Amino acid sequence: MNDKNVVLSLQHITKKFGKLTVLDDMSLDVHEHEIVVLCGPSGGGKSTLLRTINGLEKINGGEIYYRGNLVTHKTIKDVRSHIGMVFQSFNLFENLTVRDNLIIAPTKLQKKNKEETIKKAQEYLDTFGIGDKMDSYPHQLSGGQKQRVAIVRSMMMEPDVMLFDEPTSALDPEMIKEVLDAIRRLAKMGMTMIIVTHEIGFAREVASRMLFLEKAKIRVDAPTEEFFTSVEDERLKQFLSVILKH
Amino acid sequence: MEFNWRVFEETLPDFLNATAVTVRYAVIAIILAIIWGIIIGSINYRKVKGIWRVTSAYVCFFRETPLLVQIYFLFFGLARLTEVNAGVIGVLALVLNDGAFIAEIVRGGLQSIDKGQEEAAYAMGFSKLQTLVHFLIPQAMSKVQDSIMNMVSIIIKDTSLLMWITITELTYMAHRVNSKYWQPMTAYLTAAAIYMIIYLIVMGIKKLLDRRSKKRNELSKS
Repeated sequence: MNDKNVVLSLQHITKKFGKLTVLDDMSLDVHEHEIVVLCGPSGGGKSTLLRTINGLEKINGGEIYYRGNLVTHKTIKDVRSHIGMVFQSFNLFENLTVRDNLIIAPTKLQKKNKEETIKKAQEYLDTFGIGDKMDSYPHQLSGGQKQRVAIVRSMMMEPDVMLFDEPTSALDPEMIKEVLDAIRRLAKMGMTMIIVTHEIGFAREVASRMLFLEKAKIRVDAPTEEFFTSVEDERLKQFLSVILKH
Repeated sequence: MEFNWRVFEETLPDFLNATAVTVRYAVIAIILAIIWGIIIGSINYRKVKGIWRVTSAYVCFFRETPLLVQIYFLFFGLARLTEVNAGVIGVLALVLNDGAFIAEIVRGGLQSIDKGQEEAAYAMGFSKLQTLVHFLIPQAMSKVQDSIMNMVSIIIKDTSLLMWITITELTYMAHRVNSKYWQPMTAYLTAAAIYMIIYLIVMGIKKLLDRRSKKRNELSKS
């Protein structure tokens, strides 16, 4: 693939929590329009890897490149405005209405026109089926609604890439579908995404590439169909058999 | 000894003048102490390099020493160095003392906020300061508002210590009336009643504001 299409490049990333190595020399290139799903047993480093990309976790070694430029503590703020992130626990700003959650970053950080931003927010909310929630506070929403607002909040920044850190793990079963549908919609729009999830059926459906992380290493990195059918790896087979059975 | 209505009537104008002084000091001290407390509390919460050790030491010192000692210390200490009037010293003492307590309340409030709020803000590209101002402080303040109200009532009462540095506030007036008429019951009961009324008015304002924000919340729900 053409190097110009590489949005994110992680080179030999190492991360330690005290003496414990959670990311051990991980490298990964993510191309435009690619949807990369990270899976594997807990403690494998999936969430940590995701969080290093936008600097929520500092790395102990290696380099991260965004669009070919090395990410440093000087450029991180700018890089962050191009990378949307959706958290397991939603993290909507509790003191603000949905409207203000959606417009605060575009208007304060990107200095966009307020009226136009509100209009755009309304359009996105309509698209994701929560058009009537503009004036609600986060505590008045269900988990599924919160997560959809969080997705819209990221979209408002017109991100280049979106990161999802177990976006459905904190949701009741009946709400998981509405959030997965929202992510499917982004996939159709061609959004580049990196997703950590345990929804393996969903992963198989949307992912272009699957990574299996175990014991601080990327153990398998393969195109989706190959990942599920032809990769010869004992640990992966074990993991899939457990997770598919349940 | 009984309450003497004649003395009460005669001294009421003086008491009202003194009340104006007390209210003025209380309002200024409350506003500045809250602002100061938010700043110091935020610094201590963030452990800002280079200054948080100093600000924590300050908080410790002003919380653990008596206000009257601090007032005298500032009055005689500062008055020696520069020509500052008693009023400025009085406000300074109240702000430094009560602000230290408010700083601890604010720090506690900030600490109780879920870390995810901060992470979401950073992930969007907000700076540390912006994150504090837009998200963390508003949330902390709404969590600790009852404790802050408690401090408001303490500050109102703390203004009474300013009588010792020649400020003619309410307690000073009660003192003066008593020494003139020898009517302690009348003098101090009048002062106490006025303090009470001031506090009730403050509570009333707070309830009004609460009701307004609640209404706003409910409107947004429908």
